Amino acid sequence: MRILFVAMGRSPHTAGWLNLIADQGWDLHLFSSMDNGVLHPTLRNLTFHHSFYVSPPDDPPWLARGVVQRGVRVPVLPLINRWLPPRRQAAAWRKTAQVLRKGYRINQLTRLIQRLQPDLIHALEFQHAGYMTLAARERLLQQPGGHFPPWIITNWGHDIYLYGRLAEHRPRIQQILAACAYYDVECTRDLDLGRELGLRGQSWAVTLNNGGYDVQALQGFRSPAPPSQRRLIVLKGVQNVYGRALFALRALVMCRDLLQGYRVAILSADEPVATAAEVLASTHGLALEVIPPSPQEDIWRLLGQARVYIGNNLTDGASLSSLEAMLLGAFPVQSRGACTEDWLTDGQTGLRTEPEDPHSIAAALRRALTDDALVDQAAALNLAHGQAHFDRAHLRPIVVAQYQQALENSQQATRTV
Amino acid sequence: MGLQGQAWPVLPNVGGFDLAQLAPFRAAQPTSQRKIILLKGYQHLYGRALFALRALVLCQQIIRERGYEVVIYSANPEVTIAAQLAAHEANIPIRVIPHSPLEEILRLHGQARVYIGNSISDAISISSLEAMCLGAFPVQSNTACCDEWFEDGRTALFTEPEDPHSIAAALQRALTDDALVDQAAQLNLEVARQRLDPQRLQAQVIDLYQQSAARPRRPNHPGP
Repeated sequence: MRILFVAMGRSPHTAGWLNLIADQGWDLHLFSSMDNGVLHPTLRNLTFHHSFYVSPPDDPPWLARGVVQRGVRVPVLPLINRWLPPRRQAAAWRKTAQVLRKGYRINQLTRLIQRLQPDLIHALEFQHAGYMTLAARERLLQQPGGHFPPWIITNWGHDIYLYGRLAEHRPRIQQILAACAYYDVECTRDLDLGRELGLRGQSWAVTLNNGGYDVQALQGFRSPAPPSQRRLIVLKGVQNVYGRALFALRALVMCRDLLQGYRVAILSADEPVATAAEVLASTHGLALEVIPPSPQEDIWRLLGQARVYIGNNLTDGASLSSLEAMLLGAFPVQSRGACTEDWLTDGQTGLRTEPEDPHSIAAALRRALTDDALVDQAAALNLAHGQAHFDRAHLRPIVVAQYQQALENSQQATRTV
Repeated sequence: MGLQGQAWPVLPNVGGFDLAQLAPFRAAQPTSQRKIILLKGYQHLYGRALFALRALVLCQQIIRERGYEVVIYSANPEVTIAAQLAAHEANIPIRVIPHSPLEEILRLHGQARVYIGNSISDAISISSLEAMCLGAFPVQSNTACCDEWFEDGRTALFTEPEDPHSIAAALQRALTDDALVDQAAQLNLEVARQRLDPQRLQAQVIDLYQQSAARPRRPNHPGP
């Protein structure tokens, strides 16, 4: 089976998903929707299609892992490299190509589809990969005898829950949902939304889109102390188009009477959040600590030491941080903007909050900080749920079977014609 | 924090407002008849427009029933997107205007019933003073030093910047109490005449420089 993926090449979600099927002996191709020359280091057994790229000195390990890179390889010229390193040379070529020929990546994708003739095309994420694939599809179908393979589209995070409500994006999202043969989601909410927005194809099983976790290995990051004995709160500090960490920070201040002896670790803090945290720590004497960008293992270690995890977004998909909190015993206080209703039972295994109401977040936080039985029982239930639904070993056969079924359907349709 | 020098009197650092020049921007109708709610859309280190936007959603019924329109200026990208979502969610008209010349902002102040300024830190808040001059009723976070210019509950309403319910309560009052906003407009205009007139300020400032220059200098090093 030959599958062409259009996706962000540097994303851990892309790598996690592709690695679920990397050992099937299928011919896998990845066309980077971001075209920044970066591959996720764990990718295996596929051909990666760049525009311009530089092979790093560690090229042999890529080959050893079965990764072949295609595109225009920027030569490593020592004289030029002294004032313009190879990576920047490649970036300059990409920029030049964008300026000289708008949509050159869509052209490249179109030509690649013609050349590869994949059995299936799978776009991971809508706003880059999906839109690009849609444009390539339109070009191919305009050609005489034009053909486009069965198309699978995966919904990531905010793809349709946020952008489906924005006038600039809605028409293209609807076009994709009308055109795709299969729709892959990680929560029921986005499946329902997809149908409302005109999905005609089949839906795939509601599963994690990041490829899942090795749940057993993750337990190595879990502190032996039960959550009720932990004295750490982890807050995701994203404040941007969809992140609402400032509202959660306000909720923490509203609960300051309970925070004696607690440390609050703020992850991925944007500048306004870091500044607000410094001001609030100084004003109210709170132990707020902004964690610098850290390896994933350090984040897991923090979650494994935390009593409560606060995730507060206006919109999100399954919220991987919340799922990781579930697996590591931190009690999730998660905004309704994330589609955690498939995974969390409100009031039992987590508490769901209004993302832009500090009072709602504070009420949930107050309960999570005072109800020892709640957080301890939730930890046991969440781990059991995670083992049953989030483990790679559980996801792999489901995902492999879906691709096989899609290929079979396609071949059957061809035979019928 | 250790100031040892003399403090100058409290004056607006913007240099005042020429009310005669501002007059053409002020709509003829009383504030209570105006239908615009003007929001400053800063969301960054100190701006907190997203909290105010949530307050507007909480006031959606009044906004719909009374036919108000929300206009946001100087909006950050996240505020622009949040405004679209809020308009969709609450079914209220919200218009985000692109970066505009000052005259356009002044015209909006002159057509607005309410001006909302929301930040965790500010000084006098020039936008509040513009609202003061042009008849828009200020709903202003209590972190700006507006208590030196406005009387809470009489000529403005002060709010907690990171509490949407506090902002919504103030907004609800400002959108329904016609007498409050009309009387505030008169009182605020009078304060502006007394304290923001550039001619008066000019004389004060020149005098301050002259007095300061005439003062004996403190020696940098104590003498033997």
